[in-house]
Parts: sequence; C-alpha cells; structure tokens
Amino acid sequence: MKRREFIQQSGAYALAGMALPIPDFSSEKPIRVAVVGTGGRGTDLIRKLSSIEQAEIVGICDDYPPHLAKAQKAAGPQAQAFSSFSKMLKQIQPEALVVAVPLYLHFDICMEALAAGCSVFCEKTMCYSIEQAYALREEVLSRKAIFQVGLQRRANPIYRQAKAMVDSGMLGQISAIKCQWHRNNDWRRPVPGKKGTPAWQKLERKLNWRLYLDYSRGLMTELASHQLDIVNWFLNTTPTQVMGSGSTDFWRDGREVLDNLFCIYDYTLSGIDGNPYKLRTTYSSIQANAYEGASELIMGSKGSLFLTSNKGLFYKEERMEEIPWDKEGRVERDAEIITAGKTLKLSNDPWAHRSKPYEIDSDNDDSRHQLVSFLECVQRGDRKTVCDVEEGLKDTITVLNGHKALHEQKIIQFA
Amino acid sequence: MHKTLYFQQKAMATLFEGWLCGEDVSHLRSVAQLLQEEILRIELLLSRYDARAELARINREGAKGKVKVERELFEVLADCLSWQQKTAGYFDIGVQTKSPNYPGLAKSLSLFPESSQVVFRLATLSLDLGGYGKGYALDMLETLLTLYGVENFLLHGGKSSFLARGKQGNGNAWQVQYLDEGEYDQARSFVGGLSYSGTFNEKEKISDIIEIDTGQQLKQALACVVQANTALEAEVWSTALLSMGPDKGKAFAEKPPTDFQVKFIEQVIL
Repeated sequence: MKRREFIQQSGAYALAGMALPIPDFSSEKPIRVAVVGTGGRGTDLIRKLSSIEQAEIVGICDDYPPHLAKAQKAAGPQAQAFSSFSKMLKQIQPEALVVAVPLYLHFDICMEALAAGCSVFCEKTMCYSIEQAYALREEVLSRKAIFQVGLQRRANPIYRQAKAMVDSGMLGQISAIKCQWHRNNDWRRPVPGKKGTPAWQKLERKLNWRLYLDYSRGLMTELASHQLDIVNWFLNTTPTQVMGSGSTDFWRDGREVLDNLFCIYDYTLSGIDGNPYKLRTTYSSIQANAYEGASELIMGSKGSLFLTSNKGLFYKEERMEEIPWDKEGRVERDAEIITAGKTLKLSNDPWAHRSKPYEIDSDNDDSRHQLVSFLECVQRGDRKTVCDVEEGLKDTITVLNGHKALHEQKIIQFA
Repeated sequence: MHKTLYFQQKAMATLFEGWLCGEDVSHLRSVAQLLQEEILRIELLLSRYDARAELARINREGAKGKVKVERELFEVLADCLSWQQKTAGYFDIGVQTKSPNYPGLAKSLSLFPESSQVVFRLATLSLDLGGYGKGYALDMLETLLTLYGVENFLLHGGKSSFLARGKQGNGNAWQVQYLDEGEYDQARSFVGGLSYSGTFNEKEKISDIIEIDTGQQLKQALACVVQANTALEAEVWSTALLSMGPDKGKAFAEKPPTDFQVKFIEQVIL
C-alpha cells in the first residue's frame, strides 16, 4: 500500500469509527524521477539519486550532448535520454522532476512540470525574478503540489543543530550575523573548441551562463541564496531593507556579473527585553581571496556559532553576569579565590578572546540527504518539505532585492 | 614554448599538484579549476575517513543489508574485485578489516549489478581504497584534460602517484627522481603512470602495509616503484607487490608483465 493511500484511507476509517489498519510500506515502489539540466550540478544530483533506494531515474534531459552523455553514465541504462524537456515529460511521465537548468529557465520548466502533475525539486534560486517566484508559488499552492527548493543546508544536521541552539537561547540575543562566500578562482567553465569563433562564443555564453545577466544574477543567486536562506530560517523572519556595493575589479574578462560584492541586510527582531531591535546581517562574496571560504557567523550575547557545511563551532562568550544575593544577604554562589602573588599573563594572541569551541559534526552528505527527504515527502504525499515554495519565495525576494540594491546603488525596502 | 599553469588541491589527506601546458592560460585556468572540483568530488566518493563520503556510508551500512550505491562507486568496487583476481589476491581493499580469519574481499563482499547494490558478507568488513584512490583520481583527471584538449601535463597525488603525458612547456620530457638507499636516483624521463609505495613514509616509524600471506604488518623498510600505462595500474601493482612480502615481490619484479616496469628500493628511515 502506498503511503498516500494510507493517509486517505485512514481518514475514512476514523470517520467510520473503526480501528486503523497497521500500515505496511515495505512493498512501496521507488519514485520514478527525471532530471532536467545535466551540467555540473545536475549530474551531481543524478549521482546522489542513483544511490537512493526510493529513486528510480527514468529520464534525463539536456540540450548539450556532452553533458547528457556524462549524465547517462551516472544515471544508468534504465534512464532514457532526451534533448527536449516537453518530449521527456510526455513520453516518460515521471512522478517527480529534479530541475537543475540555468536560473532563467527555472520558472518555465517548473510550471510545465507542475501542469503535468509532477512533484518538483528545483535548484536554488527558485526563480530569476520576484514576479516569477510569486506566480510559481500560486501554481504550487493551487495544485497542492509537492515542491522543494534545493537549499540543502536545511537538510544538514549541523545547521539543524545550530538552529535548535539559536531557538533555545544558547546564543542569547543575536547581535549580528556575518555571511561570506569567498573563493579564489574565475568561476569559469572551460569551453571546448577553437576559441573566438562564433560557434565557440555561443557555446561560451551557454556554458558560462552564470556570468551573464540574461541568464543569471551572478553571485547573489548562485551563492548568496544558500546563506541568506539560513539567516531567514534562523531568525524566523525576512529583512526590512538592504543596501549594497559591488563591482568587477579582478576578473575583467567580459563577464556582466560582479566579482565582489558586499551587502547589509536589516532585520527587525524582538529582544530579550521584549522590545523590538535591529539586527544587521552582512554578506560578502569575493572571487580573488578564499580566506574562510563559505561560512556563516551567528553572533549572540552569550555565544557565537561558526558554521560551514562540514563543521559547526560554538564559542561561548566570556562570562560577566550579576551574581544574585539570597534571602540572608549572602552571595548565592561562592566567589573564586585568587591567590595573592600570581601574575596573570595577558595574551596577545588575536584569538585569545575565543574559548575552546564545542564542535558539531555531520555524517551525511546534505546534497544527498535533501533528495532523500524530498522523495520521502513524495512517497507519503507530504507537502511540508524541508524547504517548500514559501521558503523558496522568501529566499528569492531576499536575494533579488540585494541584487537590485547592488545594481541600482540605493537602499531597497522590503514590501 | 608553451605556457605552464600550476595548481594544487588538498584532498585525500595529501596534496595534489599539477602542471598543465598550453597556449592559452585562461583556458588552462578554467580546466585546472575543474580538476580541483573533480579531486574533491572523488574524495567525497572514495574516502573512508570523511563521514559524508559514499564509501564511509557503505562501511557503516554494508553489514546491515543490501545498500544501494552510486554507480561510479559500484564500478570501482567491481574493479577492485577484478584487481584482486589479477594480482592473485595480493591487492585487497578489505585487508585492513580487523578480523583474525579475514577470507579475502571476494568472499566478504557481494555486488548486485542490476540494482547497483552491495552487501557485506563479513560483518566487520572495512573497505579502504588507500592503494587505489589517488591513481583513480589521476586517471579521471586525464579524462577531463583530454576532453578539453590539454595534452601536456604532469599530475601527482602526495608525490607517490604520478601521471604525465606529453612534454614540459620547454619541450623537455617530464622527469622524476626518487630516494634509493638514502640517495636520490638519477632523474628519469617518464610518461604514463608511476607509483611509489613504501612500507614506511618519511615521518612514520611503523608500516601500514599488510603482508597478505601472513596478515601481519610489513616490518622491513621497503618501497616499490611501478611504471605503467595508467596511474591506477601503477598504484594497484605497487600496492600488490609490497603486499606479497619482500621475497615474493622481488621474485615477481624480476619477470613482470610486459606492460609495466618494477623496481624495489630499500628505504632509509631518517
């Protein structure tokens, strides 16, 4: 029996006042999944899917033959290969679709897939424009479709643990958040063929779509979306405004997107005294220095969380707190005794203020884990995915307002 | 004279380095970036130490029942079984298994090609691709280099697995020297795969190579250098020859198969 049938039938049994049957999902067939867009990321997702019991890859689609050939190897011979997405949908009729095409195609592909009745996993950023993101949200809700955005940190145990720590108050009042994604490379894919010919130039724009504004919003949509989603998730809200500054200063190679950018997002939160306060999140992405790579630093009055996909570190702040008096006028806790004559050595170590961190580890690959989670939602008919269309919409708005602030050089207010 | 681009990538507990030669440095740079990503991707596939890696997942889950694995890793495991046969059992990725009567990989691991699943027949089986992974990675990098028209390059992983094709940017052949009885041997030109496997590395005082016939760690300071067509072949054979133990290994080295060369070196522990 499929989980979806069980949920429907359970309701009927309950109404009739009968005991619920004991479910047996052991005979459940894997979900028939197709993947559209089999470049670097798409093929990576195919590899993960090929290791998941709940998935049967039945179709793959790309309009660039070398990418399709590589993907076929990863997917296996049972996956049929197509260069036309519409043809694949019609012929294969997959239950679920993984969308890993360039950003500017996300909306059209998702809409067509939803119309065909598919559950959809769409790589981040959800859409190229805010208008498209709203329209896609409406489509998903009206069809009651199962939809997940590929913001994989939401499925990462390190981030889930960190979220729990923030929610529990371990960090105290969040003072500031610093996000960055720093790399030292030109972000280009190599292009085969004779350089400079019209055919080569056309292929270059196709393979390096991330560098051109017709197809991409650059670092904001390709990198920042992950981290700004974490901030929205951890703070349980979205920004009120954003300002930014960026330009192309190192990789001056004809690209249209910025190669370094800095944004400041304002959030309004409720403080520990119950009153509203402002929190600023800074975001930087640079491509000529890789110091501290991709990381988020959540800074609170009691401690800090330094997060990456592979490791989380929690640093407690140095303690200073009022020691209360008890009823008899004594200090409730013993004071420490300092022996006279001891010299306290001051450290000039720049990291001396950091205590030894508590470490948070993960034993799963979050790219794989998010797909497992998605497929389990499809199997049980559960629309509450780890990153559903509402979260995808918030992330899209956050990211694209940042992009607007950078390019228009003004403070953008969130609606 | 071609231009030469150098790159490096830390992975698999070592340092990979590469020298790519060609006319267009910006093209070489993009290719090198792809190679860096590929090295990290392969590490996340083959590492037994990184808990997120696919091999680490199999080591955790393999004894509980059939585990579906990525097709590429499935093919790697099938290849390892094949190598166990070709080397008469002296190449065995399960040899680090802590079991007194380890029966060998073929009896401990089952593969199901139609479903890309594996299962451990021995509950304590532990797979370690230490004598395979760097060579495999270098050969995969060559596939990318060929795809993007880079014909002249030298790659290595940890200065123990090498792969070279074509020539240096100045037109000279790629060369390598290795430490033999405490002195550097003469520089030798080479093309293809080369692997230097030693019982002791420069810093450790104990061996991590198991002699297959006795199941004991090799105590003699010995290294084996193999040159072969591919980096993987060189690495597998250098590992297997050491695992034969010094007597068998040296006897084999006197009459190796025609498609590779072998040299045994007495290591000096400094």
